[in-house]
Amino acid sequence: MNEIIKFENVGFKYVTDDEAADNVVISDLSLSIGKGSFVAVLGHNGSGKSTLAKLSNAILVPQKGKVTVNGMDTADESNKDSIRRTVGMVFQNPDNQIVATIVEDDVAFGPENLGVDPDEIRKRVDSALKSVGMYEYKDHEPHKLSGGQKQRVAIAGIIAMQTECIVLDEPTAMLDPRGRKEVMKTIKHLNKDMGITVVFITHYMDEAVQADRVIVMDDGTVAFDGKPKEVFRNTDKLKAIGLDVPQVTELSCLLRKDGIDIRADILNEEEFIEAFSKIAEVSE
Amino acid sequence: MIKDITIGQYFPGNSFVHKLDPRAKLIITVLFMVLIFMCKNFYSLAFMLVLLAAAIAVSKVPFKMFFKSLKPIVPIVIFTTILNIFYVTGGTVLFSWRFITISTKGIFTALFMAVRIVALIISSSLLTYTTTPTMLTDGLERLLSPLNKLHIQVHTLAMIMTLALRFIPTLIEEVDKIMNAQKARGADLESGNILQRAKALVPILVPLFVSSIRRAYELAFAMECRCYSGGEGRTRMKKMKFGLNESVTVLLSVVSIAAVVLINNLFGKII
Repeated sequence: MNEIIKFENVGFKYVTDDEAADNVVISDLSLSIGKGSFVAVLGHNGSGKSTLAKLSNAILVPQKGKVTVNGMDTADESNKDSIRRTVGMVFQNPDNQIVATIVEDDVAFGPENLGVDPDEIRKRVDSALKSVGMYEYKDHEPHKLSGGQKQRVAIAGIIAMQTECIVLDEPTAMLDPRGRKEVMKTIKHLNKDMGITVVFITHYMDEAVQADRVIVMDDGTVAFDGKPKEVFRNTDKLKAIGLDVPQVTELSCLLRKDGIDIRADILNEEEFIEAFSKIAEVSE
Repeated sequence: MIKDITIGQYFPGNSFVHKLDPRAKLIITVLFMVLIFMCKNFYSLAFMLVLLAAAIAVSKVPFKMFFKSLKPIVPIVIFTTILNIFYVTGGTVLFSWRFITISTKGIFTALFMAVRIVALIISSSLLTYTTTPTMLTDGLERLLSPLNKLHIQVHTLAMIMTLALRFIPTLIEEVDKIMNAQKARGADLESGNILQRAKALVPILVPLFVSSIRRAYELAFAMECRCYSGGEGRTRMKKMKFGLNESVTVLLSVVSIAAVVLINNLFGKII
């Protein structure tokens, strides 16, 4: 598969005055993100997942190794602009990334910076707002919207720039369950229907499960990498690095320990019900 | 009280006033403000107020919106009125007791000042109600673009204005949150003399500043991620057109300067 973002033996640490402090955030990280994929990055606080996001569009530049976006080295200052046209980024707090006082003006901000023709911007803004389901709010003031709606506006702002890839740094962390659902639905739509590569950083397991590939970060490096089913069957190891697996996965894992023969790769309630009712039938 | 601030509020609509180019609206508003101070008798003042009322009628912004914008300045109006009544002397003396004298000129001046302040607020509210902040700052940026030659960064100033307007409601919310948090910790914000109350504000201002700086930092990241690099090479979604409508309205306001001067001289100045 064609890769869009590639990390090669990347090392990064924050520079502080305190020499003795161990600030290594990313150590010897290698991974590549394929075009059109939907990757979830999991990890507990301080595992380096946010740094990973910032490294992927040249906000931060690695001290060791190399990060490339479509073959462009992020360390090269002259690539910065083209990299940010390729990889867009959505942050955790929707309030701190909305620039304008009217929804559609904010969505237009990115393409305006790119110097796109006014008529073309109009088209992009309208279609971006439609694709996140916020078109009817285009004249509204962002501060009157709910958190989930604001985050969708922020996502529309990146879509309007027509980036190939969107990196979302815990976009659901500050939202209520309903807002989280709205944002997840939007992200899936971007990936499945619009073919945009999505790198989704989160600490919610139930959200990570919906991705095609899950990368678990621990201590600045990749602990697990694979399909959700493959990753989440390692219940004990995941717990050891401070992560929770989805409740049903844990339940089936406990059942297995008690000698009940149930699949170890169950990720949601439906699968569990299906598998469990089969066992129930057999035992009858 | 803090919620009464109407600066930068926009009232969506599709009227002639809404559609007018922001540059024209800015010019007209400034002209209006100058003219309202040029009025020297009731006839010219009435003439300007009729123009303002006509503009409001055309804009289709409900009148109660303007009352809302007037609320916070009521004390200022009352204060200047009282001050003018007692301080300005001239004309016929109506009342005199020891050092207090009230004259006709004092009353007229007070009345004019009150009407002028109210008209100033209403006209500027009309501007912000009918123009989105983005359009307003864009218009200002273009009007002031000659200043670029003097090495004044007009675009940067306009961007600062946009962001300030954008963050007013966010910061008001934040102040509310911090106040509640401090009250929950036993902070007393409502009693004591002025000095004590001012001191009580410190535990609110410090967290507010800290969080604002953090917000600014994140916002800068977000803007950079969206390829913002100053005004150069930027385009705008909303095109501005200084067309026939704009030319005619600006011309009409220039004509009204002549009208005011004429009426002032025709009917005699009373202040």
